Amino acid sequence: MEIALFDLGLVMENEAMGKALGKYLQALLTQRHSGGREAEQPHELLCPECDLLISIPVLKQRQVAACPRCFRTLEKHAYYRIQTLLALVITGLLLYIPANIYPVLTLELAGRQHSSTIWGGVVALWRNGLPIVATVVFVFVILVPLLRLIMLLPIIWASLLRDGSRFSRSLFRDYLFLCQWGMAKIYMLGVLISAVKLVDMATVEAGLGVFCYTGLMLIEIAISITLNEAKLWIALGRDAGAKVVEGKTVINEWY
Amino acid sequence: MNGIDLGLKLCLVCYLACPESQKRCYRCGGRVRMRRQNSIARCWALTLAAALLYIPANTLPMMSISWLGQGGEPDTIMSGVIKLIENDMLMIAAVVFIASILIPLLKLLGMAVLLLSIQSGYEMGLGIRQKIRLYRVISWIGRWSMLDIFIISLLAGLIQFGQLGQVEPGAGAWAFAAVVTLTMLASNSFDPRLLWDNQRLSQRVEKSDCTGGAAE
Repeated sequence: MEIALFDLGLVMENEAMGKALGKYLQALLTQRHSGGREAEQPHELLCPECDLLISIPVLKQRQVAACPRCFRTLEKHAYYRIQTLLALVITGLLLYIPANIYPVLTLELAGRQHSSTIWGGVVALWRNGLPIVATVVFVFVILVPLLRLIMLLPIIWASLLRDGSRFSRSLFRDYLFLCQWGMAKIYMLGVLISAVKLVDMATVEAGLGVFCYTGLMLIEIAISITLNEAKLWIALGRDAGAKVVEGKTVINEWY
Repeated sequence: MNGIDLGLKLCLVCYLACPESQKRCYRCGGRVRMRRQNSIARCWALTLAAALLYIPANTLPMMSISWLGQGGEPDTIMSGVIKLIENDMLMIAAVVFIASILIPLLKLLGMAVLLLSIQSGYEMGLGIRQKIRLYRVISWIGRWSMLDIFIISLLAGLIQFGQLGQVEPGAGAWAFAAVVTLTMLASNSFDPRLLWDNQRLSQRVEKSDCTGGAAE
């Protein structure tokens, strides 16, 4: 409440500047990123897995366009707003910090407690003469999730401003590459299996870190569902594709 | 109609079709090629390297657990699974067996089948849709094999009680991590469009055979 009053005071103080700022922010936040007219038009594309030329009609809600020849999913109906994506990224970044600071599991044996963070596991591998494996775990479990979240921030910013610079587009390209190497889900399954393995041997307790990492994993899944690549690409730059029409499209209902 | 007939190359990152003369994608700036570069050779190299490393991954010890003065002898993947079965943890044994032994093996065999069928033109007993499905399963399932590496990292970080209990990761772990990473890279460098090109070619040959026969 106090913060809100303070903000109001600031705006009152410099009315002209406040109005300009307010208009700017409103324009940013009310802009519904349905992608503009470009995305609503039927267009043509090539299937990335079988190279068939396909024309895609305007998709209705819950519809998915799939390749008629190899059944690969090509495009979904875009229902997302960029604000949702921004909220998810910020939540993910907030969860990332405790997920890495707090222990994942705590083990108690004969009055002695030992807990380990994700980083602790990496260090243990390194000390036992397996620096390569330690690096692999570090990259896939710690580095890639962080990079994926951080890289989305300038991408979202550029798409809000509708100003796709070359930098933001190459950043999005790298982001899509990193998506193939995200392993949060697999790490969670690993935690689960280790916990069950240890239950018979000693007292095991789940630490705060494991809950935060689960949250992070769910955020990653939510981001991958929310993020609509085709629309984001259109928001990030001009589409200069070729225009040739032939082929059919199969429309599948999507739940 | 295929993109290759129209002189269109697809950018595999942002899925924009670019004309044949374009070296870099208009939109994302990445390199565009008609087909992935040296797809078959790269894929064979990575698959064979992974197949070679599959041997030390299964024969070298993954980790040794000493607990309250017992144990301490190093475990390979298979002996670890057998121990889990002996301790009545069948579900976990099944998960570890599938993720660490079965999936890498199936990935290697699957990649070999796909590559051989492209190179020789034989169907290998699989229809083209089955092959595409095989490729999708291989590229989706690949990362789940990392499970065992993550378990080792967790246990090694957690069980540090000195005399009472200690976990030491073994040399098999790096071979195994290499197998998983290499097979993932292999399925990434595979170009499924080659399968369709192959089919198109064989159809064309059949057609020309027919017309040739009629002419005689």
